[in-house]
Amino acid sequence: MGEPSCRRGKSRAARTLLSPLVCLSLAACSEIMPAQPDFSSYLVLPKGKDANNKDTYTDAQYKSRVTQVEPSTCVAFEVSPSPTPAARNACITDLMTDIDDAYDAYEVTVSNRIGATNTALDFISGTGSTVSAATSGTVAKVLSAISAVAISSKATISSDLLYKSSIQVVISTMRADRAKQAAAIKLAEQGSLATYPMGQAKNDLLAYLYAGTVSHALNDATQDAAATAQKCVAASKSVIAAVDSGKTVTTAAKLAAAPNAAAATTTSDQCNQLAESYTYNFDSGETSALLRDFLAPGGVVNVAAMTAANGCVKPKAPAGFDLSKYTLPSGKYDLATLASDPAVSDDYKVNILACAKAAMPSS
Amino acid sequence: MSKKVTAKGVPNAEAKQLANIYTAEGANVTVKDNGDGTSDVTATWPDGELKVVDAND
Repeated sequence: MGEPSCRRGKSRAARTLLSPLVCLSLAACSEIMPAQPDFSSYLVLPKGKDANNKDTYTDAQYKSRVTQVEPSTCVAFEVSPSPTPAARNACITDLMTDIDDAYDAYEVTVSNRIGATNTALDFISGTGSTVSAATSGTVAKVLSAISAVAISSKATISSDLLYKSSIQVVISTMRADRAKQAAAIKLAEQGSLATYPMGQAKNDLLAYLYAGTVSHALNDATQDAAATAQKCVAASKSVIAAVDSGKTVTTAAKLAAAPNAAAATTTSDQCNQLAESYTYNFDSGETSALLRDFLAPGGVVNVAAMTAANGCVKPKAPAGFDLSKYTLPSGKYDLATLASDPAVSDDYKVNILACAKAAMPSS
Repeated sequence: MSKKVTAKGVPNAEAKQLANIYTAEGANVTVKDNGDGTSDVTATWPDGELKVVDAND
């Protein structure tokens, strides 16, 4: 096991980027959200060597940065003329205990701060003119941008997944990542000093510390949600295509629709938590009104007109027009939105209306 | 995957008609009066037939 130094750098960069943003999103953030547990990371930062193989900073500089008492077991290990794996492991255990203590207090703080501010993790991502407008806060924008890149143009990380269970997501992710990292350290402790030197152990302890931070959890949760969304969107598109062409949708087809074999582990529940969202400004124009009046004269829906119009949507679609936004989970078309969305051209609406009128059964 | 569409700024006189069309399309519809003569109409569809099945289905 080992923690490449580049990963440590990335973790630190993520913390630097996101932690202040998390706090900014706390509308009533009267106190600063701690970026990480109250643990002096210098205790687990390897000293490192410069180009001349000298320590990058002196012992005095090192100790001046350490605001926490170094465990006696670690001091003993460092000064021991013949250090042993057991002595190393004792130091690791003490450092982990210190990190655990700091984490326990941190988790309570996170839970209280986030729980008290319902906007804290309101980072629903949206697309087009849509959901992102419903959220404010820098974290919302940053994470919306991240997920918008990661998933398709219409998919969104739903409020159900990330808003209602935001606290659970963050805390569960921190706990899971810490447990994973702790297990890896415990496994590595079985190695000799040569295979698992103290420098490596401190690197892993640093990762263990960062695993229990909000910024780390946000990163993981966003990436996981985005990956799940990608699978669900791909599967949905395939099923829509199958429904459109009148084919029977099989389990195999649904699974094959996903981009890779990992989709087999994507469950209905996961996909059901994801919602496609679209928001538009109502079109009060004459053409739109005519089409709506055809579908629901006097406000009462004409089922025959709806059926006829549905049959005209695809044949009359302008070249290159993306119908997926106007496709319902059933595979039929969303006529209400097609009629009322100003993004749909008047020409297209007129053509649907004319086609549907012609297709209506004669009375 | 579920779907949600929101029409903003719908004149109140036309909100019911739009809501009825969405309802006919199988949506659960909510109408929120903005207090300025317009409403926001939100239609939500459950995941319907588009479930991605579990691997052991």
